[in-house]
Amino acid sequence: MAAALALHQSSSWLSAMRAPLARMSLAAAFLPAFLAAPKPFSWAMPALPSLLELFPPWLLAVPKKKTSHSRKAMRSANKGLKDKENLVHCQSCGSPKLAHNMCPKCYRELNISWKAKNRSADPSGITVF
Amino acid sequence: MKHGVAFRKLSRTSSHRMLMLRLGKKGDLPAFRRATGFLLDQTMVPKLFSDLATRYADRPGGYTRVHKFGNRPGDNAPHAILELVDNPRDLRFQMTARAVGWELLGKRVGQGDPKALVKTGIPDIVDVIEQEKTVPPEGRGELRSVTRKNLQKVLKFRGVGAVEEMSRIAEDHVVSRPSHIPGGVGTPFLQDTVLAQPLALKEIVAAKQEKKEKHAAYAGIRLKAGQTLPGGQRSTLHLAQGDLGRENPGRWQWFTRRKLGVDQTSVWNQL
Repeated sequence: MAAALALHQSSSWLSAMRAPLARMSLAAAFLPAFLAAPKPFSWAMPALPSLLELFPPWLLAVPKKKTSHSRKAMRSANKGLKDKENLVHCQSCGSPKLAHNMCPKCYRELNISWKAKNRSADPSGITVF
Repeated sequence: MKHGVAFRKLSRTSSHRMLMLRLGKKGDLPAFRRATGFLLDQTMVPKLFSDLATRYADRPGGYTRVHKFGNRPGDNAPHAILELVDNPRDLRFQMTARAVGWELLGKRVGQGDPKALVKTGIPDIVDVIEQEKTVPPEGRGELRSVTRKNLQKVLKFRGVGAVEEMSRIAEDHVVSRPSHIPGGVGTPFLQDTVLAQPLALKEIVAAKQEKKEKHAAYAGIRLKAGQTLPGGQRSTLHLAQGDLGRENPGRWQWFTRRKLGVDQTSVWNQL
């Protein structure tokens, strides 16, 4: 406790702790400075050195230990790539393809043959078969 | 007029296209003015009002077709191919014709002598297509019900010469031989059409034996991963694994799903 006081000398939220115990209420010990000391009512906003004052220190989350390799691996157990189940045979070449999609092998073959036909029939490249 | 497009933009593109095609069918002056006002490429307007209007004269709507085509590599966006129905490069027509050839071949490979098939091919494709046109949806025919449905749909508004064209595509897909083989028709870019491969291998094997090279004659047909021959029975995963795919002998063969168009290599090794 004394060590903590030594370290946090300027901390406003602990300034309430330094006041004689008899004068303080229990609630005031856990409030930030601007709320602890009784003040007459005014419309002005209280002066806040930082917003972190709204959070007592034991609310600021921080990891306690480095996540172990095993725990990290367990967490990513479900994150693997999922197998594709929608594989079927192409009706015209029999090779595997995605269901309800165009067979890339057949489409490639067709394109090649059409382009070859275009080139041989019309070298200028105007007509399209 | 075919483009690869990102799938999400499709509905807008296709509705504009369909509107233009409806105007083309109408054919009167106000329609012409509207079409001219909308289209950026003015050379397409006469085409719209002559070729496309005659092509879709009997068809009540449904002038465009969407083919899903996987995902784009850069951003994994779903990709699609948009096409005008019944155009000279109609994808569905091409795929259906090829499917007809593939299925018939697969069926006959199981039934009879593959050697004879290699020589004769499938001479009665036209008859089969004509017959399948008339079979009702619940009925049975030589083809699978899905293929028959597709066949009937693509042939419905195609007009004269459609059956002939379909049979020609099917035969070319299945039977044609590359030009380096004597008597070959030759599509120089399609090196490994279905029946050409065993023939080509036979030639190579015979030539090697003549020259008496050190390496022994090649025992069978080596297929690449994902490649099959008609009349086979391997699953897609097995095909995709290629040589690493494991055979399922014994009890497992009763649980594997047998489908037309999946590889049955042992048949082709007998050639």
